[in-house]
Amino acid sequence: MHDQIPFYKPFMTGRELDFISECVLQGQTSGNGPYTRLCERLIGNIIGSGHLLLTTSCSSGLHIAALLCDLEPGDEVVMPAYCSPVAANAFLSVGARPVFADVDSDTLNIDIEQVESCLTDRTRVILPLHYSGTACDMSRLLKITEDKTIRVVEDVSEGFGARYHGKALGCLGDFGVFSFHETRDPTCGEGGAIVINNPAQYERAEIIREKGTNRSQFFRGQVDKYTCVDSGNSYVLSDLLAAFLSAQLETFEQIQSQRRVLYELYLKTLAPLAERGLIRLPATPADCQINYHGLFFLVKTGQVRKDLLSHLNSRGISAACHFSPLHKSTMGKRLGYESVVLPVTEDVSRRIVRLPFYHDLESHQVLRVVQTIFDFYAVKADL
Amino acid sequence: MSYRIPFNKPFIVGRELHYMAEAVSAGQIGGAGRFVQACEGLMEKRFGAERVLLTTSCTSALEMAAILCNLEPGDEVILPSYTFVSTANAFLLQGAKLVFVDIRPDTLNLDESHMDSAITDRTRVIVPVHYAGVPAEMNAVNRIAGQRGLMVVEDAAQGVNARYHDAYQGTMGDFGCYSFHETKNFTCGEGGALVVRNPDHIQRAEYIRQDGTNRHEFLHGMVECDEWMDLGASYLLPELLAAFLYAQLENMDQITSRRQAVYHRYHENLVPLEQRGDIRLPFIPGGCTINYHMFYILLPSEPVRAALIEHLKARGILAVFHYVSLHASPMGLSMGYRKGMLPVTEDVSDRLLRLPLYFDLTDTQVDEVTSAIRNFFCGGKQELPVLIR
Repeated sequence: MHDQIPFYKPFMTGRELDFISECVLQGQTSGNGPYTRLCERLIGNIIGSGHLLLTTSCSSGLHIAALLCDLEPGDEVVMPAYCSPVAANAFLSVGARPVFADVDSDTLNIDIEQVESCLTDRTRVILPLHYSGTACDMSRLLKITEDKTIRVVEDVSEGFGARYHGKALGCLGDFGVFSFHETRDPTCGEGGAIVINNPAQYERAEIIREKGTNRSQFFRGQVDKYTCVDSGNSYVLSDLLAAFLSAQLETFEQIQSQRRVLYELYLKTLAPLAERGLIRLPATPADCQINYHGLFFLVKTGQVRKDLLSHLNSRGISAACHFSPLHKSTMGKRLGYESVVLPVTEDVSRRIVRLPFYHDLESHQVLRVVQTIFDFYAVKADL
Repeated sequence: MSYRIPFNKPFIVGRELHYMAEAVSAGQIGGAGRFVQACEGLMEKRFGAERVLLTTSCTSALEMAAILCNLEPGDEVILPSYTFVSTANAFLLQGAKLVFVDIRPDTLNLDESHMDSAITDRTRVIVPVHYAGVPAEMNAVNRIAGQRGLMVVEDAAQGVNARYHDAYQGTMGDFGCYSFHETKNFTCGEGGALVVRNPDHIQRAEYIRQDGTNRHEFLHGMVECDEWMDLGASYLLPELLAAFLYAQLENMDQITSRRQAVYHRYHENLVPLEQRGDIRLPFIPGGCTINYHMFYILLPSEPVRAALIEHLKARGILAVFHYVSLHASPMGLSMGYRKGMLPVTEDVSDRLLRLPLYFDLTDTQVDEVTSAIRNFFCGGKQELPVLIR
């Protein structure tokens, strides 16, 4: 009997707990302390922008972005339905209405032509999700919004460190949000960040993160008492978690190069199945530099996926499907999206398979996963 | 600037780092794992709560409660103005109208005698805040809410493990909200919990806590895949912080008894000043068991308070005031409130001072703080400040 290969496993650099003890000794475990600032500096170095705030999650980052977009009830936000409900809920919470656009079958990113057909005079925001760390076609998307008052909120929950034409994802639109959830590297269990690309909005973002108070300005000595000046929530990440995260961010380059090795090994060894037309592997557009977030491919049918997943799971390998399309969900139906037709979204959501992918995954484990897939297709592997 | 005696200091009471390491080696640092369940189970049992759900903060718990109250734009929520901004923001974000009510001069909690005049046919929720862990008059609040069919959301951010007669704070309303922020009795830096009394609300609360999805049902094998069910956000406290918190919760009695000792020492040392009329000490109504969250004193006036803060600061001691009344904040003013509308709140807000109180504070340090205060009022060669009554 083989060992289990989980779908993901949090990576440890070994210094996390030292940083956490140090954090307690230094006397601040709540948020916005020394480790929060360290993380913000480290993230800033990686993405090349200093205007960012650490948050409790990607969801919090999206809530801040939604508040900063100053939306009126009924304003529309164009987003993919092939994503988690996090972004849709953030915008619903400020009274806006999601409008779902279909995705492109090569990248599973929002399809720009579909976005164009969704635009109305109520469109205020476009929310591209950079699926699996591959950038959306941002040049075309930004061209659409150029002469209109439409904001772009990049959902970079899967794309921390990835680039488009050399520029870090999250720095291309008005706002970008990251996730440091345990399924990501680097991680702190649950955490996130928001990049504010218009510096004029940075102060208001800080206020919203500090529960609508000007506490940050108070600590910088800019105001003499802190008080309630806006709406907001408690979106500050505990410094205990920031301590954990900073240990991970320090080793970002090393994490990336290890993930790249695994990614390329998967691609190379699975290629024969793609050549035979049994599966379709992701193709990275030339202008994108990915962050090796994970490995997915498309199988022929929903039934094949079901069989393949159970084949893998019964052999100790945790492979997974992904998003249930939002417009077809219980909530989507309740909100009246049932009649929306998004053929690519509905199709790929039935056919996608994601394989185990994490820093500590070893090459021989990758080969075992691939071998098991070859066995499923009864194709002889030459690994 | 760092103080010899800070206002608050994070502490390790037992196995915090050990449990965090355990979570790491178990391969689960996010989501709802063993430690999240252990924390929730411990509190459910000890507080006699139907369901406790750990959240990223008390603000998150309040926001979840506000969503669960199903408010329509224009619905009204009654709350004190002498509270933290999150009490108000959670309901504001749901489109509710805030109706601030003055507090009782003795407990500094919602004054139930003002409640009747504050209630209109749009009132939906009453939010009593248990200031300093001293309970609001819950019998009165629940009676009024029962008569009028209103929901009750207890803001028990400071009241974890404190009791009103036989009931624990947070378990008496429809929802209760706890905080485990660094400054609280039991902490994990940033954290909170939502207490749910009515079992019918539990499923929806679980959806809301995990981004509006049925992820917890998926993880328990109850559904084939998780999907979008409701509103919500990432309100679940990650396992890593729950590991830290669990070490504190399992030492709840030890932490409480140390805080109790500090509280009583402050009280004993300062009674003479109260008898002289220099200061007023906290009032605990009969039948209540507090959690010794805070020790505050009320000074005769704002200038005296400012002078005392400076006096203590010069001696390396950090004592801090507390809430700036919400109705008189820029946000409150923009809603049409004006200074002068809530006299007790405004008065207390100007005169209240919180003294250092944390687990590692020693008796000697308490004595040092109180003798500095005595010295301010009675002592030494310096002139006595002019007291404005």
